[in-house]
Amino acid sequence: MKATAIEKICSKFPGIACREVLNYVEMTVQPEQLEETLSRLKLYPELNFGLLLDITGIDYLEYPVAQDCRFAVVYTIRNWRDNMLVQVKVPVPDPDKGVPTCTHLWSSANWAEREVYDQYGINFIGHPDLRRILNHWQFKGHPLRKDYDIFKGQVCYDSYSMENEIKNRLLANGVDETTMKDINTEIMFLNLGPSHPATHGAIRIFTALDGESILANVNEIGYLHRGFEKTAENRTYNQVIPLTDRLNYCSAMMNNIAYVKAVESWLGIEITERCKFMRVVMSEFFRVQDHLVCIAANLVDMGGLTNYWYLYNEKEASYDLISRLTGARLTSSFTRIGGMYRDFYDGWEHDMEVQLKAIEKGVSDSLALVLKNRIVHDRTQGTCKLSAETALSYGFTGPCLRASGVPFDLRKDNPYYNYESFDFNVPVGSTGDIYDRIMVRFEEIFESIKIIRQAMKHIPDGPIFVKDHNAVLPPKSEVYNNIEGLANHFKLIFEGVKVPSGEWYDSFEAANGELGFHFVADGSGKPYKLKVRPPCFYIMGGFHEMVEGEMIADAVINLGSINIIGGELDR
Amino acid sequence: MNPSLFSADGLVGLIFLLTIAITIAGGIIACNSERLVRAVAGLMICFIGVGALYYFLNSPFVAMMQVLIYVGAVAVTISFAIMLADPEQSSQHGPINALSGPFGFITAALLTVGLALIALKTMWGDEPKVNDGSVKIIGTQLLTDYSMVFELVSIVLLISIIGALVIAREGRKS
Amino acid sequence: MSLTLLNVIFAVVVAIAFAALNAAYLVWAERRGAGRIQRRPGPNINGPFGLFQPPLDGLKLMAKQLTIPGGADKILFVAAPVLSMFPAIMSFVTIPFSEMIVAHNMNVGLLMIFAFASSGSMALLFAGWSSRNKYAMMSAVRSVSQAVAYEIPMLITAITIVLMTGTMDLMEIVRQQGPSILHWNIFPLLTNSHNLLMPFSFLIFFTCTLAETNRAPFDLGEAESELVAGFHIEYGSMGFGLFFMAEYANIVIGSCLTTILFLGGWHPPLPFLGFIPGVVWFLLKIYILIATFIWIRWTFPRTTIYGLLNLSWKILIPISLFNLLLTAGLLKVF
Repeated sequence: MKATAIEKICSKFPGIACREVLNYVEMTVQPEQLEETLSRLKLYPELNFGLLLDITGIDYLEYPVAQDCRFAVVYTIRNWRDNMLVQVKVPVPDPDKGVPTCTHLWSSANWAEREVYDQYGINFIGHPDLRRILNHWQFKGHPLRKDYDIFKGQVCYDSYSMENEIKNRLLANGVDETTMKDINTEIMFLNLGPSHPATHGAIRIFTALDGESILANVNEIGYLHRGFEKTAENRTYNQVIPLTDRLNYCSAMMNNIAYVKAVESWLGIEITERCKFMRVVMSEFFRVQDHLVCIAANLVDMGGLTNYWYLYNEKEASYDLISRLTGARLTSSFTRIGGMYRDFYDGWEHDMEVQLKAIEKGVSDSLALVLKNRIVHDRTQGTCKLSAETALSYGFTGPCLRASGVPFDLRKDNPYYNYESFDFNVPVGSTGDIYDRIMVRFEEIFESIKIIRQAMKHIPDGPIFVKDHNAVLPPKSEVYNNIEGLANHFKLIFEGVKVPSGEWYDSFEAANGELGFHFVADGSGKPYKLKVRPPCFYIMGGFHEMVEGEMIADAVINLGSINIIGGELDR
Repeated sequence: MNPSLFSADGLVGLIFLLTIAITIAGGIIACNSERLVRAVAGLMICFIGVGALYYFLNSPFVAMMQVLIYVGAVAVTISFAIMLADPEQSSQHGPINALSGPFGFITAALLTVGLALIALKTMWGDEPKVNDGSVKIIGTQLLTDYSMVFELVSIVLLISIIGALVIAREGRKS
Repeated sequence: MSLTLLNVIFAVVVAIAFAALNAAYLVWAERRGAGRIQRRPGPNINGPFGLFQPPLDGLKLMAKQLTIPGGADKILFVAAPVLSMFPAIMSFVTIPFSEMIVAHNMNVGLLMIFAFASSGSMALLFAGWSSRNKYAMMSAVRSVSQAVAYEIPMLITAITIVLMTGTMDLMEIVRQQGPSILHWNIFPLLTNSHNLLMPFSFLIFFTCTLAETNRAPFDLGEAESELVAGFHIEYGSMGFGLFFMAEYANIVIGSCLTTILFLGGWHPPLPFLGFIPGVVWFLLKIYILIATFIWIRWTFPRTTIYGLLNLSWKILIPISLFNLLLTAGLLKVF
């Protein structure tokens, strides 16, 4: 972010403490100033912060530096057009009283605030539907509070009826008792999931149907919630990497890269050129994998099983390449802070080129089946449309946002790892229907392959690790032969990488959208707090906007088209 | 003539009896089951039995029409309508009139007596009139000898269709 | 009379065997065909080319317990799969496989097949309703509206053929299509009406067959992505097996009927090929049609229910009605 942009933001808020962190602005406001600040950020035309990325709470109970209040809430907001990012931090004197909601400004705040309430027990005044979201509704306590013991498990049995929620949703859509009589039919309530072939995981999609049209829809998530953030607080920074594999498991290495990129940005480590190119190659390769999975599954939902094999055969072959490189097929854990686990093996260029050609063939074959297929057009064009404004309001990022016509891509707008020097396009849809979402992904596969080819051409030789023994394990020869190496190794293994205390947010264009990590570090080797900003959590939050008024079969293919991955949705 | 049970004619006779049993059983199920859907199933069985009886009467065309129209169309339509209603309601009894039992009995008895009288009074020919049962003869007969009946039936059908539409429109308005 | 009836019973037994065998090996053919289309081997472990797979699958299904969900209507639940096989097997009785091989030729054979085919949707309705499952219920409703919608253009097309041939006797319909490929009803030039729209009639009839047998792209009844498995969601064991067999038996019947009405039945395409028995030609034709069924299934995605109904009511029915009138007119002219 340019210095002028920072000045611009600060000048709009006299009397509010603004400071620059990494390349964004962090503002600390008092609770009574919060509403005013947020609405200014959203509504001032020159500020225009239209994309609420994330809301998270912080519990300072065990933080070494004393704070005014035990709790704080942090809003991460982006202006995608001018590449400005701002974090608004507000201390919360009384969590039961809480802070005012901002659901009227951004629709994405709905689920985000529910998550903060669920995890930290911070109330949001005026929130329309404040209840738990990731944890079970019978769960007691708030797990991300520091005084919640990490080993304290709870067993909850009863499923939640969601009766009131769907009734409210029906009312919001103008369906009440009299309309029900008018349409001369009874409304049928139907659960798609949590265990249903369409959910590709475990999500509960609860619908109210008139015939086969969806009148109202509410969703319940959290079936795969495994406490990623709480677990991360108990691990050293490098030990978190295997956990990140399980976020979006379709593109595991992208999460690894996003995570270490976030840590390195705070440590100020400038990784080697070869490592940058490796990360670009691998993250684009995994973007291709992720899109292959998404499109294949989506077309299977449509009944076109043959596409699945054309695409999945190549994904399967790609896994062979990945396992030759990393030793694992799915969960690669291939990055380390300051570098990569290993360099490429000899002859990887050939394998990669063969694989890319095979992927191009598979994708072209699949496109030949669907591109001019009347049934595909009838089913996808104009169904489950989402306008750009709604998509931004719900915090959509990535292919789903681009399908709605917003050309926002962090690789172009906030480039890292030399992305500015690569020649690639950002495919953009026009209407935001299912067809656009599928086709944007198809195009991105070709663009990613283009990037990989360029990167393979220009990848330099050299080390893959930086020479920084505070962050990177020394080579084994040093460990065995001199005492400093041994000491470094010992300290890094036992204590982890010491990260200076502070708070920061860093993001990465993952296959599904903006994957962000919000850290609070206390100077030790373990993160004091780690919050993930998973792209598909917010996309799922806007699911009902897309499917209400459509048919039940459209809801199923729409769920496939937005690529919900349980691992990062529920964490 | 007393055919042995194991001759071809005997087996056919057995199948004939079976057909009658199926027809009657279907009728009983249709009248006595508590669930409407089962009643429809009984009705369907009954129709199939009647169709088979037509076949025995050397009239395969009527037999097939019986199956096509009554099983394929009427029974499907009825059960479709019933299933769209709440399945819980369909097992409940409607209001029973005290007179409905005796009244039904009397009607059935009168019908039986009437049919029996007609059957006894008719001068059955020595040889059953067997034609090839083909569509051609039926078509010719319908459009010549029985054209009046044919037209009247179509008017009845027209009236019932219009009536159904009127009722459906009323239901939608309210 | 008596002998023909016994013939029928004997034929029913043969038909059951034929249907079961066909169903079993069509599943194999379908899976191998799908594998071929999708660049994967398909079943290839049990026996040569995986040929033992179907009997083993059958054995597995028979060994399983038939679970009846609580709250289901037990009698109808058990009766529905049996009922689903009934129309297919009855229809086999009147199908002429060649000049010689026909169980019981009726002068209303075509009518008989339609009569029993129309009762097939009862089985789906009973299965869907008795399962007491919302998905099954939705599927039953879909299947029936689909069956009703596609029966109409199918019947109209069949009536066109009846007009042209002047009979509902399946053997007579085939006899009139000899001796060469140019006399088949699908080709309009040498038939008595010279109706140039006959190829379209064939396509309509074939499309309706796809829809009536609940095959992709019209497999909305069991749309596995939204309705999980549709009307047979609650069925396991041979309950499921019977529905499965019925689907394939219906495909065979549909292919037989298409062959008889449009593709010249047992007639060879050219007269000098007559030394090959008619039944070979007949089977060849129906298996080519079945292969097309399989090919279509693995090529097209599923339509939506509205798209499906629109296709029938707005496109197929008007065209087939027009074709019927045209045929009637042309028959008067020529």
